[in-house]
Amino acid sequence: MELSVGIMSVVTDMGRNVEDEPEPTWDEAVAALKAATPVEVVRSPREVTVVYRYTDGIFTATSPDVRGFRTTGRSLHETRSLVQQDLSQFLDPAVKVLERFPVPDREIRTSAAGCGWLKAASLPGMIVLSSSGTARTFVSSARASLRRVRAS
Amino acid sequence: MPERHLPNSRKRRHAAACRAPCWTINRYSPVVKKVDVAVLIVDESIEAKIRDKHFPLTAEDVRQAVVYGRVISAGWDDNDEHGLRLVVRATTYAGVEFIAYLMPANEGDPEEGTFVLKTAIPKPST
Repeated sequence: MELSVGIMSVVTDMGRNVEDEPEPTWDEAVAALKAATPVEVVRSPREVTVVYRYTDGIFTATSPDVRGFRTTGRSLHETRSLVQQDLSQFLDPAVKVLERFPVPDREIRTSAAGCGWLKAASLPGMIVLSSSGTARTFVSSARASLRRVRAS
Repeated sequence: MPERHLPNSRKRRHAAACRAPCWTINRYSPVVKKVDVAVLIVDESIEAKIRDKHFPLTAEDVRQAVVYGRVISAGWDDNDEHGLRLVVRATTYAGVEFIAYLMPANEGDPEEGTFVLKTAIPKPST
């Protein structure tokens, strides 16, 4: 008997629809927050990733952690400052921003070079046109020199 | 660890307090003054409810704002029906202000940092 009662209660619970539950209004929620015991929100170390891309002469920054975040600029410096400006208004000061820049391929195929293979290490600070002509790869001089050192 | 020298009556009370779920203690005096919302678990049904009833708010926006964003205010709400809940007021990246109700995933340890989203109500636009 007890077992059957137990089963019935489980079945009844499973049938409860979340959407049928009454939702508090905004005013009720504000009143609940005022009546609640205040608590300080602290942050353990965490970071938000920002990914930079370079396409058609424009730098674009997006983040997989912040939906809807997208910032563009004509230079990397400009884009980075816009990203910092934008995210500082939303993010908690304790959250760090981890920036990821495009890593150039070691060998880049270009139409200009007759489909030949160019070494990225020999292209410091250059923008290489891809075979389609729309996408470009920005090769930072610092990274290229680092590759040169590693290669030697 | 050295054994505590307590009278038998105090030992019994101490053992009973250890066995009792912490949330029953918290229900009457929420002792956690600092909280870290590190992980927010969102059930599919809650996600659908927020999407359908509280447009333009989404559960993902709420998760991002609560975990990464600036929290305006927060407090422990001790409700007879729903139990101990964390009420958080924050703003999404898109600028929608909301109040979210979170429940500690581990009732015995609200400081653990894992919460379950129960609902979120956007501020009505005037």
